[in-house]
Amino acid sequence: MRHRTVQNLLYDYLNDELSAPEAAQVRDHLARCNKCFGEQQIIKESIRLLQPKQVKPSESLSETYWHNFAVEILHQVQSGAKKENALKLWWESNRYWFLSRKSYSLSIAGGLALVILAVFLWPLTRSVDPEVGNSIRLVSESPDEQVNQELSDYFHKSKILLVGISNIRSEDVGNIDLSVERDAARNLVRQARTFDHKEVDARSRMLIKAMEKILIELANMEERDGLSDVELIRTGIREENMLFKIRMAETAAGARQENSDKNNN
Amino acid sequence: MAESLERQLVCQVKEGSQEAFRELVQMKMKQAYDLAYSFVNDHDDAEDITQESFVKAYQSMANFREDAEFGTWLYRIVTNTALDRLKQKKRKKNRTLSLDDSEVKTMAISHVNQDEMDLSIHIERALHELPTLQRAVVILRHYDGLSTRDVSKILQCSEGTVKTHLHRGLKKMRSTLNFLVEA
Repeated sequence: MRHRTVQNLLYDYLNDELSAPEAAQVRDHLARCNKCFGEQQIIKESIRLLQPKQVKPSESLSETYWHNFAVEILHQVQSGAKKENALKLWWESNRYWFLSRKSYSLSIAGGLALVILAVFLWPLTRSVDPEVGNSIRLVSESPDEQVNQELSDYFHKSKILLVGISNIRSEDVGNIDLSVERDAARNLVRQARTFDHKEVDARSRMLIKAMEKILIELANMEERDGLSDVELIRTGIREENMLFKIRMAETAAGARQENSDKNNN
Repeated sequence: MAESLERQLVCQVKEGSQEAFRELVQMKMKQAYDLAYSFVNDHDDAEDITQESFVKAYQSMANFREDAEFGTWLYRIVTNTALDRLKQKKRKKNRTLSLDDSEVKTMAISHVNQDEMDLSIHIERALHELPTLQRAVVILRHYDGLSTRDVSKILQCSEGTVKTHLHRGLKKMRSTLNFLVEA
């Protein structure tokens, strides 16, 4: 049996869900293959850690709640059916009017289309990026000087790490050592945890939480990780626009520090 | 026995019986809610997703093949609705699990000691950090105990894909949990 095949069967094997011949094949393979045996230990530990919840979420809700829940669904189904019927009825009684006045119908349809287009296009005409606006507002907030310096340092290091990950070429993934990035990510997660009990503005706190997710992914990378895992992290960075947000946060923290230095002088 | 009752009710719903639909809802609503909750870890969202799924199921009943299992079909609707909701939420705000939310929900679900609650929070966090498909497979296969075959029907992928995602998802969770617990 191939390694990948055995590994995919490990969960079923540990739960006694394989047929006898299949289980025997897996057992024989595990006796000879250290790597797959190691994988088995990992899955075993996962199953042990991830015991299903003793109490299901639905059990914490009362029977009255469930009775009303069913009633609400029926009500939604019935009102949906009524709307559909009303629409059908309206169309049946008015379709002759529309079909016999094609030019009027086309004008009305054209007018409606323009209105719908305007509604969709209007948000694109907004010139101020809300992210920039929010970041600029940050400058007026002033956390403690020491915390400010630590935030600035954290955002600066995070930026360097994200730029590094974003600049890895796809063809190099799998051939380069990612241990430096992994260790940096772990240190940043620890650094982020120190902010839990400090006075940090709400925007920075949200950004730290968002970074934590990416940093944990990075921290869990194997030393030479596969393309799909690095790409997943890079996709996350792009989708969340993390580099832009981190740069803005670093700038804002720096600006606060400057203001604070000026006031002290 | 339960399956034949289910088939009977489905036939009656197709003929227009809302009373039969009400019975189907009562049979399946708690399971559907638990599944939705596994994805979103929030009561209000789970409630919305479950209601929306039943309404969709009713509206699509004409397309439901009577030889298929209603429960599996409903689970597919709930899964897809939950995943859509998660995508919407991701677009609106950062993709993180609020520690406060999960703490409150975990306390509401069961009375546990501090160590168990901490682990529970870490597990929820690790689960929500999985890629969407891996998370769906871990929830459906491991937490809900559905067979590989049923999961493949719900997610409309091959059984091999289900097994691969389950293996990777469990591995990743264990790695994340070890790191979170150490940190």
